Amino acid sequence: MAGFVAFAGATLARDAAIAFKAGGGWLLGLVFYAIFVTLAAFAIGPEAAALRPNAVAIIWLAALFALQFAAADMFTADFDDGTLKVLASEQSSLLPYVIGKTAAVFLVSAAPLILATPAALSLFAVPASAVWSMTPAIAVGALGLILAALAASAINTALVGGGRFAAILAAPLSVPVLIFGVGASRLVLAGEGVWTADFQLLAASVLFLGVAAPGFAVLSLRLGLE
Amino acid sequence: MRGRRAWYRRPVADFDTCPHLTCRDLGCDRGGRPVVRGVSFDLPPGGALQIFGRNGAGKSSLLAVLGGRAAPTAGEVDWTQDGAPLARTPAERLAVLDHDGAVKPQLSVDQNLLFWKRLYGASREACAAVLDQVGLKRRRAQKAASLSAGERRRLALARVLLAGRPIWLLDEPTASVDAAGEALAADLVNAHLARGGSAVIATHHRLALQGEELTLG
Repeated sequence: MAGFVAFAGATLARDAAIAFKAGGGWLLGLVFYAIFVTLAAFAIGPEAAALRPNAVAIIWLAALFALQFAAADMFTADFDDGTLKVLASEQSSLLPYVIGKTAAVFLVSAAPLILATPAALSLFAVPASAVWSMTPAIAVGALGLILAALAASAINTALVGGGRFAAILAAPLSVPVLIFGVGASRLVLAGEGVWTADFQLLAASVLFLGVAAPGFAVLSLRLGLE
Repeated sequence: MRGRRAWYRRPVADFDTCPHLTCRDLGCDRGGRPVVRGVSFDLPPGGALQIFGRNGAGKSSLLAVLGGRAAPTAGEVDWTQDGAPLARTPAERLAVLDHDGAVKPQLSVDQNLLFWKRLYGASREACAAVLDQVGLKRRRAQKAASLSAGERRRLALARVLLAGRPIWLLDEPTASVDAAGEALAADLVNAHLARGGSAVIATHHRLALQGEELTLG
């Protein structure tokens, strides 16, 4: 188990170093998210009565696109520079690597986005009391969206030259997360609290993706490396 | 042979238990095109095999089969340990040098090795020692993007040394390196063989070392 954790941890630390120290890749998803949300608020107009009902849908769509944008190429660099070939030969399993990559995308791309969400919601005149209660659903949903992008990105890498095929593949996998995430957030806005049926279904769908997506990604990568 | 992989196994860096590799009538494809046919060889601990051949002859494809990344289309790859067959490719005893080098251009030489140090459970002193061995000690803080192609190859060789594993599968270890780099690669392989390790090397440039040779195509 120590070797498993060391492998996942090394992958997380390396990807975080590349994102934070070399190139500032962590900013891309956040900038995309901020631009999307701001443009949507401008497009809807200044009236709180028009902004508030659209807040949840806009925030979730922005999160979905931003995270797909950030995670679509998560294996490409390792595939192109030969790292994946070395790991596939030298390591008995790529599962720790895939888990480390997922954790890195969550830390680098999703965490800033989650922290920025209260500010984004305030643009849509959402009451301050609801802003923080919505954060758990966004955080859990962000993990689900990354897991969907993980599976799609692995297929994309396996299909060399697949281009932006990953974004199309990730969309249907993200649907349950989007539906239950939006539902849970709407219930928070309606004063129903955080722990609602929709939140539980959101957590269940993320749990399912958490079990299925990493194994699926490992299989896809192995097939792509043959 | 390409046995089922366990979900995870810890790396084993034990030169006293270097597995024995035997290939019989091996064949493999690349992109559906047959590239290697009827290859047989024996690689005991301490042995080396240099594979030559024109571009596209199947050298890298053969290494992919030996490394367990691809399945052979014909023949058998047998790994044995003290006469007993191993159920799977001994991934945790392999050190692989890929043609692309597995070097991150955005990271410094030190940061590149840091990832592999954690993976192999190596020490900081070992990192410094292997960089010294390949002549990159003074380049530690330099970004890999600013290294020459030959220096990046040396960095890739440093990673193989850091792994401390008994079986080396090297794809073009001397690509882009100068005469001194070729001599260094030969010295490193010879020292590895002297420790009881084994090596399969796909190359266009014959290295000065004792061992078998195979020409494809």
